[in-house]
Amino acid sequence: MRIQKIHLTNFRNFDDVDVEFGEHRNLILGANAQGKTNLLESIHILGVGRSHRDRKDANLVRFEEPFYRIEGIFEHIGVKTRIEVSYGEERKRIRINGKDAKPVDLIGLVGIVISSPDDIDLVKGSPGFRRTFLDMAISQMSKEYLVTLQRYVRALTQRNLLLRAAQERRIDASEATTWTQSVVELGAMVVRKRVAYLEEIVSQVSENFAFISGKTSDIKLTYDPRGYGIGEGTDIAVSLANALNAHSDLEIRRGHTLYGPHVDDFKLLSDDRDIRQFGSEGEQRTAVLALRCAETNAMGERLGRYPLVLLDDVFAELDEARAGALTALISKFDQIVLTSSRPARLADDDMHRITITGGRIG
Amino acid sequence: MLGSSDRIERLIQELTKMPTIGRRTAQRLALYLLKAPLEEVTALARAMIEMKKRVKYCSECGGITEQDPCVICCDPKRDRSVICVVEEPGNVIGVEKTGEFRGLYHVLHGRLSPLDGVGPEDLSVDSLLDRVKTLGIGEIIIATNPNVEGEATCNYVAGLVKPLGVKVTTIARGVPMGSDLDLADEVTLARAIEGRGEIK
Repeated sequence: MRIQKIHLTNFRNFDDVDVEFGEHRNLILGANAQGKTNLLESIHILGVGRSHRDRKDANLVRFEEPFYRIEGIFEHIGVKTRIEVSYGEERKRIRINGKDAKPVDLIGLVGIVISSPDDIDLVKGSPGFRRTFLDMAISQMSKEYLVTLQRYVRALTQRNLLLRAAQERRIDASEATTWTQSVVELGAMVVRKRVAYLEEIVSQVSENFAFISGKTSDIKLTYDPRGYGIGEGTDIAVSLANALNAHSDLEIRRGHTLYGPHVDDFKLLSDDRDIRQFGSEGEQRTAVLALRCAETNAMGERLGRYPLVLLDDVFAELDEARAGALTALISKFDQIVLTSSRPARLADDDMHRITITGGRIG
Repeated sequence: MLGSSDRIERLIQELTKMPTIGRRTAQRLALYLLKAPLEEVTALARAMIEMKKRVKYCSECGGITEQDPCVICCDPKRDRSVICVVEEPGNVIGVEKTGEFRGLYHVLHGRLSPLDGVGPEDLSVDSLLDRVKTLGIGEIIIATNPNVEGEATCNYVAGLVKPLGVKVTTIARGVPMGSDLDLADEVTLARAIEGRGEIK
């Protein structure tokens, strides 16, 4: 869906502002620390129910105010949808067209892809960043994945409680394994979906990478299960169960589940070299953008419409050639909101411009 | 409170202890009872006390009964080779209403959930194993709820019963009958497709 308008109240450095967006390309301009990223963040919250960079809603409330509120009007095939997210008195509220809703109702409704300078963590950072990437991307395309993931986390929590109890000798070691079957069955479903997703996007990532960098290389995305195998013909549930059973003593000593999708990772390889270790900064930035564009395409295909693409200062780190290629690559998307502190590079007459100065528009 | 009396407040607090009853509902119920004729309130109080005195759990299956063993456990016409395992006594009523099942029941009185402090020792599992052995049961149908805890409980019970050489089945998960496919959520539908049946 496209965003038409947003109204922010006490959100970050905004006290009370209205912003209107153009149908296609939008450029948010402003010097550093004026609120460009905050505006993107607020759109992201309407799309998935939470911030892309801060888990605590209390941190998003304007200094010394009791609450924040974000209201957006979205549009698709002529139908308007009003989404509101607010937080106050330690309570978060989501409403869709005036009706109370849960975060899961929001996921996939708008469809959001966001890329920011922090995205470099997708290559360089800890595995958690890459798991979040997979989970957000797949959840927005498949509610079934989201529900399975939630069930997995629930089963994992239950199992970990028992492992902790066994560690403290409150229960017998054998009882701790009661939840193993649920964990491995749900875990295997999560892993299968993640592997299928990587297979689905790899050729796109490869094409995008070549297009942005201007040179062809063989890109591979390989799911990296920690401590168990998922090779051809492997029953993932059995393989994961074997890993857990073989290390049950260690699990009890540590007091938590050691293997499964909650610790897995994936690797980005260029000509069989791990980009994380061997790639240049430029290659790593390119890989991340190639990944984000592939995410946009895959979501577009599944939802039957492109997601809303939010690009936070992504051109700053690119040379002229790569910036030009990226501009061409994203021109086929539907609605894009970009931020930049240097207008000249992106100047383009048919872009809708939004200028922010100290939390004020215009 | 309410500009009223301690007696109303006491009733409200007792009612609030019940499941799904919040303070506001409790207050409405209390004021309704205040307005109602004395006979009606007496009848309600008597019904509650008599229920509590007479009704108990069957020593065989754990279902709700006034006689022990319960009517189902005593019925010679029931198929004594099949046991349907459920979480709560209320589930027996549900399955019975279908009229489709003619076997025996076994109520676990809970589901495994470490988060709620419920472990295997809190479920009536030992009595289930005893019954399987002594009655010569051929099949166990596990009908726990289709959520994470229900399924873990199902796995746990299946793991204990299978070594006794008994066939273990679970009820099908899927789309409600008389409903519309469009109304089913993705997850239920995916489950239903997974457990599809061949037309013979």
